[in-house]
Formats: sequence, C-alpha cells, structure tokens
Amino acid sequence: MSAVLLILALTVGVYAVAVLEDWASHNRLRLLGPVISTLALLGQESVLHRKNDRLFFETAPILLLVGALLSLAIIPLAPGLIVTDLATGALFFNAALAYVLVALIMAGWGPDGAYGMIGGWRFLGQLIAYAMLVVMPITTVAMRAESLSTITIVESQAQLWNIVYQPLGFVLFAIAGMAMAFVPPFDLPNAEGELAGGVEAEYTGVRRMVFRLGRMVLILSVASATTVFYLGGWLGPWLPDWAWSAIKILAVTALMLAGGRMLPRVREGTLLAWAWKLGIPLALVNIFLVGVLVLVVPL
Amino acid sequence: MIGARETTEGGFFSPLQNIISRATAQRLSCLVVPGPELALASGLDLPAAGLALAAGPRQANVLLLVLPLSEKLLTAASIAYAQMPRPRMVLALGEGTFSPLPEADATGPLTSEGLMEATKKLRQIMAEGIFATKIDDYDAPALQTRIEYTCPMHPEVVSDEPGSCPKCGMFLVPKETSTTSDTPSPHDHATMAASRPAASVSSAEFAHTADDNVAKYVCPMHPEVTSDAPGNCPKCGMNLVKPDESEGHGHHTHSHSAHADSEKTAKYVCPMHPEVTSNEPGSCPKCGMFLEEVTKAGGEEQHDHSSHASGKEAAKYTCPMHPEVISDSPGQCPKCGMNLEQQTTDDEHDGHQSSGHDHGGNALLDGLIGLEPGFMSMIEMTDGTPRSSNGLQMEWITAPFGPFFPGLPGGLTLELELDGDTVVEAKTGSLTGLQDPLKNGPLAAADYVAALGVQMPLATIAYRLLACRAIEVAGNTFATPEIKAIRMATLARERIASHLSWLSQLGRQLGLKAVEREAATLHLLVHAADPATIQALEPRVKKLLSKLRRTWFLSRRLATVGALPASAAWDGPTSHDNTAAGRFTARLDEIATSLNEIKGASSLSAPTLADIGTATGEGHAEVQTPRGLASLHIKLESGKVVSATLKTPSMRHIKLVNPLIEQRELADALVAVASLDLSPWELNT
Repeated sequence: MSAVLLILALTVGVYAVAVLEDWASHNRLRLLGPVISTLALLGQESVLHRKNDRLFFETAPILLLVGALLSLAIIPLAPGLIVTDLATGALFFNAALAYVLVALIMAGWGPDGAYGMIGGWRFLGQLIAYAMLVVMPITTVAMRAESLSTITIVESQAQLWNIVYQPLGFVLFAIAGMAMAFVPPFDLPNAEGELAGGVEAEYTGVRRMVFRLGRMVLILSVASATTVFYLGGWLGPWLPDWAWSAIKILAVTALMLAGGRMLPRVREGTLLAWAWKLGIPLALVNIFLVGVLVLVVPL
Repeated sequence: MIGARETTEGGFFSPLQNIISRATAQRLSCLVVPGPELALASGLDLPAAGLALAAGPRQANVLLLVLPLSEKLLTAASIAYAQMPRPRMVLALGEGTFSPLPEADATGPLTSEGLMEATKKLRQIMAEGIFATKIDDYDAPALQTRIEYTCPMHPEVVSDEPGSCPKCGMFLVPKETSTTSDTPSPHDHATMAASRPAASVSSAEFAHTADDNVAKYVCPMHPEVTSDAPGNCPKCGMNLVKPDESEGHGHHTHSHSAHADSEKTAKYVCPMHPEVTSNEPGSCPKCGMFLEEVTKAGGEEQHDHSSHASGKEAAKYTCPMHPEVISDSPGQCPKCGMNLEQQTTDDEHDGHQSSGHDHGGNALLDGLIGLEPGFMSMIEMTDGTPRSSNGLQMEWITAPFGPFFPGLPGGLTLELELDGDTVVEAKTGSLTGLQDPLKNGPLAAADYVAALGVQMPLATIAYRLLACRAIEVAGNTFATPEIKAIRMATLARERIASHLSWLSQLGRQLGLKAVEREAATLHLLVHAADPATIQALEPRVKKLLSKLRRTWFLSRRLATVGALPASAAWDGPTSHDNTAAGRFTARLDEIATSLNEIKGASSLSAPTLADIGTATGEGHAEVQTPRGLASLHIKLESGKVVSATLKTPSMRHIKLVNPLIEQRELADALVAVASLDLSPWELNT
C-alpha cells in the first residue's frame, strides 16, 4: 500500500515540478504543458552523434534519473510513508547526489562536443564545492536531532523548525541545494546563453526526455530535503501529514525556480569563490553556533 | 511534409502517432536565421506566434529564415538544418532564394501577420502527421564528404581507391575530406563548424611537407615554428636549433646507432638529441631540456641489436616500421605492407629516415627506466601541444560560437580556441556583411539611400540618414530645420529600439528570461511607433530600465568584464568606466535621453532625400548610430552616386574583440563580445 502511495506521490510531485518549471521560464501556468512536451519529445528523432562515446552517451540520462531517485528514498512524506528509513539517511542524501556529477560529466563527454564537455567539467568544480555546503549544514541538523535518520530529524523539529533554530544553516543549504540541482542562476553546466545547452545540447527525443525527467526528480529531491531538514517535514496543524509535506515541498520548489530567474547567471569563478571563501567558513561558524545552542537551549 | 520521420504503413502505434503529431504542433521551437534580433527588427513577434527560441539546432524543429540571406549564411543554415532532429520544417519569410535548403513548408511576407499565417500553416501540416512512410534524405552540400586514400608517410600521395603507396609501398589509409572545397581555407572551416558543437582537437601538425628548408632555425618540439635568427620558441620556450644540428629533425628521427652508442657509456641523454650524452644530470646544450636517465632497458635494446646482428647472415630483409619482421627474401611486410629493406651489415637502420615522428616518440622512450612496452608517456602524448600561460600542457579545443549562437548577434562568427574554458585566441568574422551597393555601376542618389538602408537591417534609419546627409552635402542642398528635427527624433527612436534589442539579447545570454521577454516586447511596440504611442509606453520602458538597474549582481557581473583602455578605438555608448557595465548603463541612459528627444517631435518617418537635382560634387557626413560613429564619403556626378567610402563602427570595434577576451573565462569572454554590440551587417565578409 505505501509503495503505491509513494509512487503516486513521486509521479504527482515530478509533474508539479515540471509545471512550475515551465511557469518560471515562460511566465505561464499550463497544466497540460508537461504532457504535451513529453509527447512532442517522444515524436522527435533521438539523434546519435557521429563520433559519440555510446556507453557514456546512453548511460548519462539514466544515471541522472537513478541518482536523483535514490536521493528521494530517504525523504519521509508522513510517519511511515518513506522508502527506507536508513540510520544514515541524512548522509545518504548527499552520497546519492554524487551520481549526478558522474552523470553530467558522462553526458558532456559522450557526444564529443565542446559545449557539453565544458559544461560537464564546470559542474565538476561546482558540485565538489557545494557538496561540502550540503553536508556541513546537515551536520548541524543531525546534531540537534542526535540522529541521522530523517524521521528523527523531522520529529526533532516538533517544538521549533530548524529554519528558525539555525537560519544560517538553512540559507547555506538552500543555496547549495540549488547549485547541486543546477537551477538558475547556477545553471552553468547547461547554460543556454553560454554553452547553447551545454551537457543537454546534443540530447534529442527520448534521451532528452529521460534527461529532463531526471532533472525534475533532482529538483524535487532538493526541495524535499530542504523541507525535511529545515521546514519540519510533515509537521503542521489541521491538515493531514502528507498534505503539509506536499505544500511545503511545492512552495520550496516554486521559490527556488522563480527566485533564480531574477538573477543573472553566476560566473564560474564567483560561484567557486562563494563556496570556498565564504560558504565554508560560514558553515563552520554555523556548526559552532548550533553546538552552543544545543548545549544551552536544548529545544 | 518534407522533414517527416520514417514509419511503417498502418503500424500498431498509428493512433498514438496521431496524438504525438498534434502535441508536436503545439511545441514549435525555432532556430532563427540569421538571428532573433533581425526577426525583432523586422517586427516579427515570435512569442505571439507561439514560437519558442531554440538554444541550438538540436533543440529546434522549425528553421525560420528571415530572407534575403547571404550565400554563406545559407550554407551555415543548411548545416544547422541537417543537424535538426526530425520532424523538422523550414519556414521562409520575405523575398529571396534559399538553396541549398530544401523547399519551405510554409512561406509568407516578412511581417508579423505573415509569420502568424505561416505558423498556422506549419501547425496544420504537423498536426496532420509528422510521420511518413517514405522520407527524403537531406545532405547539406557543405557536409558532404568522400573517402580518399592517402599514405601515412607521404601525405602528398592521394588516391580515390585503396592500394599501396607508389613511394614506399605502404597500404593507403582512408581519410574523410569535404567535397565542396578542395583547398580548405580557415573560413570554410568556420562555416563547416558553424553551429556544430563537435570539438575539433587541435594538435600541432607535424610539418611533413616543410621540406623546402628555407628556415634556418626551428624548434625541436614544434617543427612549424621556424625563424631566420636564433632565439626561443614562442610556444614552449625551447632554444631554436639549426635543422642540420638535429639530424632529420623534420621527422624527429633518431638513428639507432647513435642511440646504441650512447647507451654503452652515458647515463643521461637528451630526449630530443640522443647524441647529447652526459654522465651527470643536467640540461641539453642544444635545446635546454633536462637530460633523462638511461636504463638497463636500454641494454636490452642493445641486446636486441646484437641479436639482429648475429642473425644478419640469415635475415637480410626487414620492415622499416617493424624491426621484428625479418625475412630471407625481399617482399612486403605482413603488418603494414611496406617494402622490406635490405639490412646493411653494419646494422644501420637506414629506413628510419622515413619512419616519421611516431617512431621517434618510441625511440625516445626506449631508454627510460622501468618502462613497460606500450607505456603511454605524458611526454609523448603532449608532444607538440601548446602550453598554457599557467604552464600546464593540455589539449586545446577550437569551438565555434556562432553564427547562430544564443546571446550573440546572428551571423557573427566567433571561433574560440579554448584551453580548458579559458579563451586563448579568437577568430571573428561575419557571414553576412557589406556589399557595395555600387557594384553594378552608379546609382541614382535616392536609390543609393534606399540600398544602403536595406544593407543595414539593424540600423536602417541611421544609415539612410547618413546617405542623405552625405549626398545633400555633395549636392549643396540642406534640409529644413523641421525635417532635421524629425530626422533626429526618428534616429532617437531607432536608438531606443536598438538598445532594447540588445537588452533582450543580454537577458538571453545571462538567463534573465523576464528581461529578455519584456525588452523584446517593448522593441516590437516602439520600433515603428508614432510619438504619441512612445509617450504612452514611456512608463513601461522606464520601469524596465529601473528594474535592470536594481537587478542584483548584474552590474557587478558586468563590471569585471570587457574593460577597454582609454586609448581604445571605441565610440559607442560609454560612461566613465569603459567596462561592459559602463556600456550597459550608458545604453540605459541613452534610452532615457532618447525618450526625451522624441517628446517634442510632431511625427516620425524614415529620412528621405531632399531634391538635389543633377548636382555634382563630393560630400562627407557622420552619424552617431546606435553602435557608434559611422561616416560616409560620397562622390556625386550629375545626380548619381559614382563612388562611396563607408566606415562603420563595427569595423573598428571588432578589432577590440581579441584583446578583450584573451585569457578570460569563456562566460566572461562571451559577455564581453556581446557588450560591444557588433553588427555583422556592418562588417566586411
């Protein structure tokens, strides 16, 4: 039963993310948009580039999808509504997202094109820097919950959500999550104006559809993790648990997608400087502050 | 439908195919040739027609041609069309031919209504079915290749059929060449690679054909670097050497006998000059490279030699490429087909002179410590590749950014040599460009004004005005103050439109979708509007301007890019600091001041020539176009223009591209190029 519910939730969630993404980039809310786009991509020829690396080219979109799906496995939508409640769940999230990096480099390398290759290598630097900024705020969340289990983490926020208890961590995690999901203004690997689509440039038809699906799942995953770690997951009055999860996750997705569109794409150099020179010292400060808080005001 | 996808008759999926066809008709994504800014300047409202802009040919299913187009642009467009996945369609607007592209699925006049009608027709065709049982192949003539056969050792030997080299007897190897151009010029290459994101890895070519030996000094690593005087190689900094000093340098050949001699006594040897040996580590006096230690493996090599020698009574013939092939009788090598050569008694491998650089690389490794056979050495792999400014030796890639690259003016080619994602060098050009309106003889003055306006679709008013002024000076006629005022106000309107188009392009480049949309919409509303309408639009334009000024990080993002020195030949919009940010704010300011200029105007219209009769004379005029100062010198003979010299701002500004973007990160380089607002129509092809 819960398996069916989870698959249903995933489908609805991904569809909603696709609608929101379309809304953020075209400024129009088209509820049937993703269906039409999917059908159109099914009708498109799936071109295999002439000098391709077939294995990498074919595997990359699937690996992106699989990596993103894996990271969703530890997200609880309600008590008991979770794929697997790992004892190391919070860390598993970051581990699963490491496959995104591999997928993007493969997608960039596979078709033997300059745009894709530069996009893939760009993402290498981006993900290594921001994976640090995902793990370090997770550390403080786990410090408060005294557990890495995502269910315990949500329960630890019953009195006060983490967004209030450790706002600095929230800001860092949200930005790092956006960079991991390469949504604007962090869309360096697949930038249109700089790389004509970058890692996605050579994908057409069904392969492109899988790639975009993987991307939607990834965005959903990052938004869900933000909800679980900082916005109290399913916690909330009046409405049922799953409804609170859905509302929070979609609100975070909408903010992430719309907010990013207001800013110009970040330079590669600036992006890395922010992570290493500013983000990581702040994350260390956050660990210290939360450490003191946990000792002094154990909520 | 010409670009349909192939399917079988009455297949199981045909009901699904109908649904897919109708969905595809709702998702039209177009690649505009030459570019979206020309579609805007022609008044085409793409979003209203439901056409999205594709990032590249792979994402497009409609090729929108804004005619007329130059031959080079059509060639590039045919390549883009060949790259588009099926189903694909051609939509041609305006007058003009467009071979080698296939027949258009829909055509129309170059107006917004024409676009609407044609798009409607496209949707109908697509909805009827994007699948067909029989489809026509399309090969872009520029992409057609044929296989020819060439000798690996003698590139001058080329044959249409496989066989052996008449010079050395080796098997000929297949090679792909273009059918269209027999002499590949760099420009053809740019066209070929236009919009094709294939990375062509540039490795320094070994100068096999440089047999003419005019150069006195040459770099041991880069045979293409030659000089008449001694000095250092600009690529790797090594001392240049005389060709006769490094024996057979052109082929990087190392005589085995010299190698063997040195191995007996010397412990250190120069990788490039085996005759340079030493008992102590140090540098080579010829090229300055570090000497490398020689090993016991070298002894084995020597052992091999002695076994060769001892077997020489029996084995008389051997392959120059494969020393292990030994035969009693003359014949051909079973591995490569080369004629076997007679071994001389003193074991001199004469054949090595023709053995080429491949073998040179191996010989270089033969003597190194602990190397297993087949070991890939960094020295060998990076041999001849250029060195970055940071000293790292990487493969550089050459990638085309244009002529249809999102965020850059369509028709402009920008070929970047990239070291990682750092720009090493840029080659710029234009696939469209200035054509002398007078090439078919003198033109009547009014016709010249019209012809120059058509030549410059992105700044028609400014160039019409320029022609009018120059001819009026030559004819000694002067416009009335009222006409002058109308001209200035019309020029101001064009400036607003041009800058809005540039802002839309900037929005596309930096991922600011809302800016891209709003600036394009405003351009369409303003570019042919009367003063009252513009007055009514003023609050909306001002809102966009203040939104841009307030956008976080935008000015900061632009401030580090594209700084021009005060001495640069720049006369476009600029403020106190001539960076991309300075030019950006200057354009915003110009929009605001131009709005004020229009306020007093009674009407706006394209400049027309005052009556000059059959005047004769010379005239010179200058006009501040939206991109900078343009000047025209004209000679008039009895009312006809006989000669004209035009200087456009883009001609001067394109020379600034290289200094602006060298050693910059790719994204910065592209922003810097865009900040110059070059018009490919103002450039010489």
